[in-house]
Amino acid sequence: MKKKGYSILAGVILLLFWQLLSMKIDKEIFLPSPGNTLKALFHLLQTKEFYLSVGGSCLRIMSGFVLALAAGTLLAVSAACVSLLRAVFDLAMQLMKAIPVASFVILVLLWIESAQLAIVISFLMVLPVVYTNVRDGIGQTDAKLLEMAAVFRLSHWKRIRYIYAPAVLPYFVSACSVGLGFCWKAGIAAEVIGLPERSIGEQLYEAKLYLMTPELFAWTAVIVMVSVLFEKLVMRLIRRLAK
Amino acid sequence: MAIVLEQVRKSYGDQLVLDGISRTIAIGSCIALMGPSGIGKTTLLSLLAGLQSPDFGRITGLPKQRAMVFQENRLIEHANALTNLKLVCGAEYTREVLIEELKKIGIEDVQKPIVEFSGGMKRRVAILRAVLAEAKLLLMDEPFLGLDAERKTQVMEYVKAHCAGKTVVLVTHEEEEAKALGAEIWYLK
Repeated sequence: MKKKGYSILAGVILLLFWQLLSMKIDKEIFLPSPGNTLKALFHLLQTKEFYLSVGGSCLRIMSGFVLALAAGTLLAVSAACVSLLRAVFDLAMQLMKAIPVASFVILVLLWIESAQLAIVISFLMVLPVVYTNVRDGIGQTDAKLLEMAAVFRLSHWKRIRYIYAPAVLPYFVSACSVGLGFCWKAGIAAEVIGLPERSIGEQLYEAKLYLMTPELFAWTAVIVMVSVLFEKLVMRLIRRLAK
Repeated sequence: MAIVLEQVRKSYGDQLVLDGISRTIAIGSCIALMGPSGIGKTTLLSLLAGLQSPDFGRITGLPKQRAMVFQENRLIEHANALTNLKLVCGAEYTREVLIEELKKIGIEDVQKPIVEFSGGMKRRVAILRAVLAEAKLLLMDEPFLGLDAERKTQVMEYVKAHCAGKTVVLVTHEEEEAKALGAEIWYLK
């Protein structure tokens, strides 16, 4: 309760700081006030374009995320089975983590049409996170339980369900939490570059182009809210599936 | 048919644990391995379980269907006792049958996750799992350690009653446990 109280107080302090700073600067084009941002947000909420843009971005970014979850898990399982694959995948993932997003964006733009850029970029950002976490989770599986499974000749399915899954789950949840943050940030950046129709990225770009700073702030708030919402939804879904 | 150990040698690094042991375990017999700590009793059990291979020599006649009570319980801690038993038991062991078997060793709460059980209760579930598993060779590493005297007698009687026809190899420091199970004692030196 005390912690929650502090969080609310911190929010109020930051809002006040924002308000005072915008009053000091006194130029909407550089820093709109919280009130004007809220007004712009309400205005956006009343347009059909808003929902189409949010829906389009969600579809693209979450597609990349889901594909990365599947591919990362599959690669981690393969790496746990074959040492050579582990060495290859480890190196590849380290490279992917080190390469700047901008390099990926330019490269991917050469390969595919710009409308699909956000899917690929989200995928590339989340893949190493999922791979590394799931691989570590598999590595942390209780060796003594695996010996027990070997003696009793438990089926592969029983080993996965009762021994591997509980060991990997905390790592998988952590990967989802971190990965969701990554894929929203990188995915929206990719949309701003690729400018797919009906996307938050396109709206952000237009707001910047026409110097509509309150709209820019409103869209940014929308991104944060949607990202948090998805994180909560995905976490709830995983925990429900794990039961 | 028998399980035959021929010149079995096992060492860990420079430490020689089993030095050319040659023995025959008759199918359906009950053997108690005794001897001082570090003499290789658990290592021998591990070789019979197929978890390790001898450095030299060979073991023949090992049945594929094995069950084991490990020194630690090695149960699925987040699952309940029934689930732990169902993992290794055949289809003839229905939920109702397993509940009855659990009651025989003093486990009434079958829904509670193992992690919430006391040490003694976990041990009894681990023993029951090995005894009820579809196995021809039952290996037990100090199975009754940590059980109070009353429970120990109850569980030993249960094990003896359910091991007819199985080959049993038991590691123990207590001669009375070997006698209670009617085991032939092998002293490892």
